Amino acid sequence: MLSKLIMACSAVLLTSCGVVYQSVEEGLTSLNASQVIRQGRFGALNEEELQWAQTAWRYIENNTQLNTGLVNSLDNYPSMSMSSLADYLIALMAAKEFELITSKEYDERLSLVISFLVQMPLSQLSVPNLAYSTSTGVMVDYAVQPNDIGWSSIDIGRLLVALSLVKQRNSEFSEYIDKAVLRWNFCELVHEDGSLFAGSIVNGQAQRFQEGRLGIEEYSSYGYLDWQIVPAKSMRIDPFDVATINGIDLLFDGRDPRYYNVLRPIMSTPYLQLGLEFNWDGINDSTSLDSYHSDDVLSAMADSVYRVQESRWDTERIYTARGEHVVNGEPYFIYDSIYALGTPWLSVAEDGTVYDELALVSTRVTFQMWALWKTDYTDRLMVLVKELYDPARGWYEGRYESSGKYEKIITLKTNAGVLEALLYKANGKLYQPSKAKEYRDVRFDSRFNHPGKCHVETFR
Amino acid sequence: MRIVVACLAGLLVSGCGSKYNNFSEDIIDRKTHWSTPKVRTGALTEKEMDMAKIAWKYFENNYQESTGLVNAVNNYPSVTWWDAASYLAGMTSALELGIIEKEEFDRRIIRFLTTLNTLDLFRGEMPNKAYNTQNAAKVDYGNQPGEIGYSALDLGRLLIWLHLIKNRYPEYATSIDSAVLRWNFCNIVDDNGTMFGALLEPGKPVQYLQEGRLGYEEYAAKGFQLWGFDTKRASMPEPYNTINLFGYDVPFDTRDPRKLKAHSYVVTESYVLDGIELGWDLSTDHSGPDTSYSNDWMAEFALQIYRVQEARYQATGIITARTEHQLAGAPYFVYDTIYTDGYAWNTISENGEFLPQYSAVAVKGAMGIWALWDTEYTDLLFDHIAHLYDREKGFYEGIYENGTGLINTFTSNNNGILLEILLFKQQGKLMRYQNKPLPSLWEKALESPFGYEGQCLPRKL
Repeated sequence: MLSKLIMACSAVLLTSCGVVYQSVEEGLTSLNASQVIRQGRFGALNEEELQWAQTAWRYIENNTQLNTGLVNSLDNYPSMSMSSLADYLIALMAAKEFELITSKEYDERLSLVISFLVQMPLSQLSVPNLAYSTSTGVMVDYAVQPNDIGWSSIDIGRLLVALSLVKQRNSEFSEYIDKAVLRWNFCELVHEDGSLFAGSIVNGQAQRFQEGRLGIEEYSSYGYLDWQIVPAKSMRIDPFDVATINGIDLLFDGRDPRYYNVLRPIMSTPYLQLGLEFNWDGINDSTSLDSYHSDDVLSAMADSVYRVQESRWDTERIYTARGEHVVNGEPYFIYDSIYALGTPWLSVAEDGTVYDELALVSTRVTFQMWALWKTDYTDRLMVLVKELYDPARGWYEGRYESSGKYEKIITLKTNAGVLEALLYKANGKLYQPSKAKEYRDVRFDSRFNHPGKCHVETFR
Repeated sequence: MRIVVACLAGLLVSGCGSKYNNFSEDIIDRKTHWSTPKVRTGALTEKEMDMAKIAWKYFENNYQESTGLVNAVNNYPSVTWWDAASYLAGMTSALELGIIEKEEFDRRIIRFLTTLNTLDLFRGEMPNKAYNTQNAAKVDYGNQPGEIGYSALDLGRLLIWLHLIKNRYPEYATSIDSAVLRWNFCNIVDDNGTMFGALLEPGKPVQYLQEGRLGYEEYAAKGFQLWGFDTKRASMPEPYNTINLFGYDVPFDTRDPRKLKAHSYVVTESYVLDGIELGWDLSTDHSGPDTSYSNDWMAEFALQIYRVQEARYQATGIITARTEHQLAGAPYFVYDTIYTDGYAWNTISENGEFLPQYSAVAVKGAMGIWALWDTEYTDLLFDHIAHLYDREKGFYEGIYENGTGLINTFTSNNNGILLEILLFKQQGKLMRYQNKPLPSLWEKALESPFGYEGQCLPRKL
């Protein structure tokens, strides 16, 4: 009876939405892919999309270091962060899904990463270092010289999300993943006041500081929530301020950079990742349709982030798909923001210097917006970036807003970001937790073998 | 049938294509329903009259008999035309409120107009930005002889007050017109109706730069309009955007301070002055005091400016009336704003330095809000600043928000504006018009193609 109702409804809905209703089977497929129950694009990849995935995977093939199994974060540059390791894991899952690699290759690659995590050297306070050499697996500084320089709870939060996705797809690896994560000292990652903390190691001394601003804090917190650690203060939306661009409201962090010395640009990335991985739902919402988002604020913010970029095209005829990216030359890393320093559409470096001329139409952001919002505008954006690749090396970073020129830097973040968008198209919401008992649950419940390190104690 | 109905209902809810979520009211409050408070009207109370007399004390102390000018800052013999206009406002109000006799007014205005008719102009164009009040010599900001350019905003305010005095006291119209007919307007207002200031820096040719940002720009443009100029672009509120603060959408100018060197500050003063002097009316609207505001967006923006300051007090407990004001020491002047350079409640110096320790309730800002909006909050503002005076010197500039006491300086602008605000309470909109236009030197000049050639007068031909 119910299925009959759905089919009858699908007929009404689809015909009224202008989709030609041909057969019951096609009707159901279309319904499953329609905006009534899905966010954005849904369905098996077509040939062209598979080719896009193949191109992205070329980057990973080229940049996998054979003796460690790790992947460079920049083309031919043997360094990575925990966040880039997360990118690799997501790319790897996509490659498996699209059958770009065999099950055997998948198992080997995954095993190399997880065993690295179990054995990797840790920073002096038992947390992963900011950077590792991909060729040797040792802790390094940003010049890839062996060094213990500190940690980022934001990077580690992203890795925790990626590891949870791996466990959900391959529960047989749960045990080893848990063993890796249980080595880390979460007391240093989440302060007792509930905020995410990072540290720098200066002359052997750790200097700790609150890390993250609205958006990235919320995203990273999901990784910790998966481990039942609640960064309650970081997850708060307030304090925030409101910017209104083209009539569209956007929230940005209310902590004043003149007092805190940290920029607070509005960036796409955390809201896109929250969409691809969590469908802008609460962590415990594993049942609602993808067309429904149980986190009202993050969902509204993501829609604003998308709509304001679309509105820039509408009102100013400037193609806009902005994210943080790398450039070939000084200052190497740019935040293409939606709003920063009180100004819409500002591109800033880490130190606050403005580089508007370096703004890109980002390949990664285009793919991810295309996956999350099925609109005419994201179709147009895709036309603009879909040729931005080197078939032998992967996807380029993007196209300059100012001239249309290619930025030919090739990064893991962009190529993994393309694969993640395509994986979302094939799967819908990526985070699908199971309630099955895992290795960590046994440890958390153990009075005598509890891991400590600020993990939850379920035996109490 | 029922199925179809259910489905159509579903369709209505879900619709086709992408649906976007919006922020709830808990996250972004946007107040849309409120009543507009009344303006304060009526004869001055004893307390208010006492305040007016104390404010006038400033102009007694700082009057320079030799030029008829008044020092902009206590005992500092320099003045800009903005501050001089505030003196004209103070003098007019003192006369109207019966603090001075017409005899005294006449003596002062004749001296003032004599100076205005004889002083050296910047490059023969318009009055220089600053003059020495003792000898009427053009000076720089350090009060050293020299010329530095002119300000369209300052001169716009001066034009408003010259026009106002000419209409209220037609016996001075000829001298006023003669003074203004000395000026050359070619570079100050262009064909698009944009206002320009002149900037002369050592070793460089004169630069004419667009001057004025939302609020000040439109207010000053009305001065030029009153004299017949077309200020189309300057008078448009665009380009602007709004920022939501405590539930109110506060308008701000979007011209980028990083690229254009000029800050765009949202402060009380420009909106208050427009309300007090021009009744938030268009320059062509010769109506008297009333509650219909023909410059409707200006009246609406002004209300937002008032409401957001009240809302800040409600939300934080900080008594708020923000405007530009003087300081007793370096940097001597701050823009104490509701919003500027990307930050709400930002206090900056002219060069953009962040100086939160100088945030203050300025007397002129608080009194302006008090007069234009009769509410409990403005009663509180009045109690907060009504006693901030030295009977021998006039009103202090203001009182710091952070509890560190008074701004220990006295200015022509603060005391003059205070006087005109009190006059507003008694009379309403200060600009008055003759029922029948009187013969006027200025109007005659505009009607003829002869005379004043090359001065770019707004001829009516």
